[in-house]
Amino acid sequence: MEFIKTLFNFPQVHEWLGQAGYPAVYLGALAGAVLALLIAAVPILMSVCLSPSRPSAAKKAAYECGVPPVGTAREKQMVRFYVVAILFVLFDVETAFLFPWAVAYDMLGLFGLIEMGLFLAILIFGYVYAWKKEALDWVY
Amino acid sequence: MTGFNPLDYVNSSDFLSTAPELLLVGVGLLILMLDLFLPAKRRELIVQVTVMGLLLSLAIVWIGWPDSQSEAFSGMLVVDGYSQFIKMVVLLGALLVVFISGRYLRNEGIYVAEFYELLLFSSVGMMVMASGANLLTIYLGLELMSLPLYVLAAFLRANRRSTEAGLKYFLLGGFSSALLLYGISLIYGLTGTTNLMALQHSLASLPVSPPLLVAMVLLVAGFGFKVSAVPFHLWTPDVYMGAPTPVVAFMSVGTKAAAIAAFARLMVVSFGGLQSSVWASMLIVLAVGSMVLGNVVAVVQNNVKRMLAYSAIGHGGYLLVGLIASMKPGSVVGLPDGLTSLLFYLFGYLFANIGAFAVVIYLGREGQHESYEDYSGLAQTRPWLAAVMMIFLLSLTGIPPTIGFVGKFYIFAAAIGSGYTVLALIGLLTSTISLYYYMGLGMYMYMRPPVERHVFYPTRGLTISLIVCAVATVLFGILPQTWVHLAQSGVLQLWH
Amino acid sequence: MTEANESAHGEWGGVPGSARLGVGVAGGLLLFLVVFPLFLPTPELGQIDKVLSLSGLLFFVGLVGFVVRRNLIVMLICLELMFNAVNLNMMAFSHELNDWTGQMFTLFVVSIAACEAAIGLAIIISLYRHVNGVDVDDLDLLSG
Repeated sequence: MEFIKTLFNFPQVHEWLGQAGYPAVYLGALAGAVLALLIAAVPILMSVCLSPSRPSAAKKAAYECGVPPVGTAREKQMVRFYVVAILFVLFDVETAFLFPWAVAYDMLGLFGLIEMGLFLAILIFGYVYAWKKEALDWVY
Repeated sequence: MTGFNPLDYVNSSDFLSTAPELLLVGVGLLILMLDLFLPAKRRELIVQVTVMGLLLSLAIVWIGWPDSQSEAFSGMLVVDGYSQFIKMVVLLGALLVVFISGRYLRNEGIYVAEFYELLLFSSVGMMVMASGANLLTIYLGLELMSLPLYVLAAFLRANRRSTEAGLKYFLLGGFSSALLLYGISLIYGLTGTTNLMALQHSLASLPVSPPLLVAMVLLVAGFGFKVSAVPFHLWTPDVYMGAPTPVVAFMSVGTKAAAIAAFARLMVVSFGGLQSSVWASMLIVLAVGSMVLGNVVAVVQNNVKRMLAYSAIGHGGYLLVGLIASMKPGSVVGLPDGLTSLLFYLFGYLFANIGAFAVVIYLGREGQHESYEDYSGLAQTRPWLAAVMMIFLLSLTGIPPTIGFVGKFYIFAAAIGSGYTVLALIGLLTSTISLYYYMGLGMYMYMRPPVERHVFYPTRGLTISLIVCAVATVLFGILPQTWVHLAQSGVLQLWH
Repeated sequence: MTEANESAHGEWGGVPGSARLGVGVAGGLLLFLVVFPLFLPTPELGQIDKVLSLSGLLFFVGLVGFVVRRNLIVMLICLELMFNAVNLNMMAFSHELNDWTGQMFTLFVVSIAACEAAIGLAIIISLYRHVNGVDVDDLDLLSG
């Protein structure tokens, strides 16, 4: 511990920490962090270097509560889900612009209403486009 | 809760001064609906509406050319000669691209309204960037410009190269805009404002601190990506090669113009003075890297589109030289300063580069007939086309009777005037290197025996835009004065 | 068979072991040097510093993830992480400076990030149709 203390007690380190906006209280934390990192890293590195690795099919299989797994975890989904998800992402987030308007609705008055109407009209253009291009139809 | 009136912040003159952008947005939405409700036979109307919209927008820009700077939407946007010049370049580019792309789109099976729509929205983004006087509007313009371009780059869905190009462009573009945003957030935290004018006042009293440096590096990275400056150029060759050729033609000019316009406004207006030495040293590295790497690697290319990509990197470097020169005012007597020469260079680059891509479109379908060998003996089979291509190549190199020469001359003169003589020398040297590969293509066209090739007949639009580009390249190379004065008066309005 | 193949290749396919170790060590260092101090009772540090450290960490994690991961979807997620770090930054500054610009900025960033994600997913799907995979190593037609 004494060694680490001297290591971090150089005046330059203090100065550097001070410039970076950290008070000297952090010296202890820094020393502790380095120590903890070493304590954590050494066993991991040792086990990586020293342990034998003999994988077999049974060992590499995904653990499924003791039952042999059926198929892979990665099932194919229908591409329609993607289209719906993408459309959802787009139209959902635009609501974010409605909130500030709704909060200040009484102050913005008629002008705000018209502006929001324009904004929504532009969104509706996109909606009509998606509709007519049959992005919303569920095709099996 | 009373006393607040939204009309104090918005008035009718705001809508008037942003009329070109608003008009294009309206036309874009109109096309969207026309595409849905028009019978398939009348699709020609979509192209006509696009052209009319662009022409009208250009006319509004031209008629309403401002004498002084004016703010719109409480300082979010400014309209001055500088922004209008960039808008003119963008609109001309979009117009030319619409003209050259007709047959290409039919051949590749992507003759759809979405192409024109995305082109229009992307143009609007570029125009907003040119006018942006707030980091927020600049960022919005950047994304409005980029998002349609990602889609356009991947527009040939049946073509794997195009999809890959789009994805690569998207990934690196998103990455760069994240970097840019982080830089913006740091700047906002340090100064408490995102308005460029207000930034100028706050930054003037701020020492160069580590967070500010980090923010500056991030901003340079974000904009450097769009200008495709080394070391942020890695996407350029792949995207230029894979993306549809008309899109590349549009992207190479429009993106560069808008990004460097916004970047220059940010640097000259907000960061002018105080940190200019830090900026300059960062940008010099970028400029030299772009000029050297772009031009040297272009020498070994055998694909015309890829060669033009590397040459675009080189031209990005020349533009940066103009920007660097503008940060230390001072010019050779009687010649324009850095920013003016930058604007004029963009104007010249527009015609030469789009013209060169128009010739590529003329000669073959996507992914075919793009190697140097395919241009062999073009002078014998199609003398006019070869001559026109030669004009564009001469202009890109910077040989006297063309507009490219004047642009490069002004840029190097401005650099020397500001004391960056070495930079100008490197520019001259790399231009000499570029002579080698541009004229290499010229050699193929004029010295080699002709090859068998499928004959493509041009559309009227393609012919017209080739003629316009060639005439403009030569004519404004001989008589550049009008445009130089226009650019100069625009640049002078930047500070007022 | 395919499973063994997959696990051998995995998310990290193509990244050399030393790079993985380096990333791991760097990540650990960052955790200890940045996250750990966040939870120390330090009156000297204001609230904003903690938020900034967190957002810096988020941004860095996103950046490293974007650079080293090969799966396009994961890269997209890392991109979102970077955008969210920016949002956190903006909100913290906005609160600290008592200025609403940052909040407006966040609104726009959120919505644009959504658009970007939508476009990215769409392009990834159209790549999937060509190569039947979502790995960055599949983007190999254009190099050279």
